[in-house]
Amino acid sequence: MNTISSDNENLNELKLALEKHFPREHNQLMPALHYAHHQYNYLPEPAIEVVARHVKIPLSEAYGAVTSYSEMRLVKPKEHLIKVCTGLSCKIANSDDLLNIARQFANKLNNVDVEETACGFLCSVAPAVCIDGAWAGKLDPINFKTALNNLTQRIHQS
Amino acid sequence: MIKESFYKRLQNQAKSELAAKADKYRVVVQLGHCSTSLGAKEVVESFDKYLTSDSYLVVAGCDGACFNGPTVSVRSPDGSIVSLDNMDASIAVRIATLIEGNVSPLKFKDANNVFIDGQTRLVLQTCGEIDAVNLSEYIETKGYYGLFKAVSLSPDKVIDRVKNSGLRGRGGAYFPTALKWKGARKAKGVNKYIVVNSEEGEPGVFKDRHLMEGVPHKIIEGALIAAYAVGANNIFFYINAEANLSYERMNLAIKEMTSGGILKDGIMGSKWPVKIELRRGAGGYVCGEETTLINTMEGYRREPRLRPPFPTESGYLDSPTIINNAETLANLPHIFSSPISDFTAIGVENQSGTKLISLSGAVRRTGLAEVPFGTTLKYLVNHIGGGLPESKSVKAIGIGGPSSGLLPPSLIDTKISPGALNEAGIILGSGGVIVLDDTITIIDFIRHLAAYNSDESCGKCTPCREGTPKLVELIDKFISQKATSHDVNEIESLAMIIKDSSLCGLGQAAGTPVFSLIRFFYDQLLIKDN
Repeated sequence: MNTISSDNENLNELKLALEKHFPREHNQLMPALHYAHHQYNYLPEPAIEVVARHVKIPLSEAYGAVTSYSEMRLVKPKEHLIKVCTGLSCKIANSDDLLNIARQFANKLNNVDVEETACGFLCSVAPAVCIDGAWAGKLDPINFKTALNNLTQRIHQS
Repeated sequence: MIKESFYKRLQNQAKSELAAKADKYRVVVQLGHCSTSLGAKEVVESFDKYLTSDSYLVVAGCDGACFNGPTVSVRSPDGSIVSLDNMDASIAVRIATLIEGNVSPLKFKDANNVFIDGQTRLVLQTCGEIDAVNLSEYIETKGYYGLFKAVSLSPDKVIDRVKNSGLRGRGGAYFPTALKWKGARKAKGVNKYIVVNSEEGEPGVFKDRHLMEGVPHKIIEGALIAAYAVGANNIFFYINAEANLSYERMNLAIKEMTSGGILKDGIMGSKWPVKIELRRGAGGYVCGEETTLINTMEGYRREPRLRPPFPTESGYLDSPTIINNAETLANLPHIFSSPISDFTAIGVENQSGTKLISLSGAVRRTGLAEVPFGTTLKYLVNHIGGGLPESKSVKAIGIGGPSSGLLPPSLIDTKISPGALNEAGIILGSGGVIVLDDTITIIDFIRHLAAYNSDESCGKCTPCREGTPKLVELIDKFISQKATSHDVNEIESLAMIIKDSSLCGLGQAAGTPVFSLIRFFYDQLLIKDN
């Protein structure tokens, strides 16, 4: 399980923020989890524990809830994320090709994750890919590779 | 009784705000989730940089013609309008230069509007034309007048009018809206809640996003009418976890509406106070199901609950709760601001109004289209969608997303209507239509739907949890050409068991793709002993 770097300080910040923004009620579990998720870009176990205590439910129950939602990450993501939509419309617009290109690209690097997503809700401009939070539609292998080159440049610059 | 002066005051505010801009060039850029993916944000940034004080920039949502975004339109002081499609950031300098030279009207080749002109736009009216969040622009186009009319009536009269309109829920169940409201109005409870369901986690459907991004005030207005009618003091807007732009626009629109005085002295001066809160989903198709949505809001696992009790009696925190889809609510402003016959005249008997269709796939023009109930798929695909490129033909039409199935091209005259479209149980759902051309292998497509349903099963009911992966296994047997006619019976009966014994809509519909496979595409199955 991942832990938060320099734990205590971070967790204290989270505790204080929860106290400030969220009433200590069961129905605040999801808003509080969203808040924590936003802070760390995933949910480290100690953070779930802080949230669970705050809304006064057992950790097991909070964990049970967290694991049932697909948008909640339990593992620290890599620095960069490429999401390839493989939904119905994207699939028939050859998103599999884009997925292969993305995987080959990520294999050469150690800080890029590739994920499939069931729908990016860009069906009308399929196929679509999301690179570090920015969606791009109507892609083909050529302009996708250009977008990946831009990502490579960003990685080298940082 | 609400005074006429309340709405007059709002109108005057709006007029005086907009009057200052009347003699300027109005540049509208449509910025939505779809057009952002095609570079619309860069277009907005570029206009921001180059436009001078002779003009002003309006950021609107998308009008639904996603296939040719980003779209820019310019209205000159003389009233002439040009619309430009497939734009990129370079258009800003060109237009800024023309405006500086006081060229009017601007000479451009006007966009092809068949996609829009072929529709009947009630809910989408003004979407893509007005500033998405600005209150004055909304009021200038008769916004919040429906709400004003509604609060001038008694809550019971409001429900009567909704009943007379024949409005049904657009989320997929098509339950009469007035009946739902009546139940919650009668239910005992100190606190009552309105939940606006914009979870929209169904692959292939992007209508609520367009509404939230383009006409958020319409949804808010509808929700306020519902709160007044039902006697609810709390409204939750429940927005999909990934729909960030939708969340941002809803949030801003609510702030605009509040600071603009719509809630002064209660909803539109009615002395009926209301508290508004935004909530985010956390992923999962089943989250849009109403009892699951309540579970999520209360902080539990994403699992459906047993009904009864229905949410109208005992929903969020055991209080009477109305859960309405965003599209349903966005119909209300029109129902109250225009004569009721304007609404009932559209559609067919017992199914009044329009439906938003998320059109994607092999057609030339893809996007969000609004059509009257009773419109044929043929009209949608061939006229609005522009048909397929010449070398291709329709192999199947996928309707209603992963919970539904595929229709063969021979049934292209099927009319769009609530509930089941035919005896195979293909349902309209929330209105996703995907057109497949002849390069597609049907069974691969069905497998894709079945695998999705299996992934999304929440695990609560055994038949769905265990049965949906088994359906995928059986489909794989057909794909690898090892299936026998026994497997046809096997897969059909398994799909039937899942349908009959699951608690929620996801499980109940998980077998539909398989039914449509067997009913319509049996000849394409490779069966060993045939």
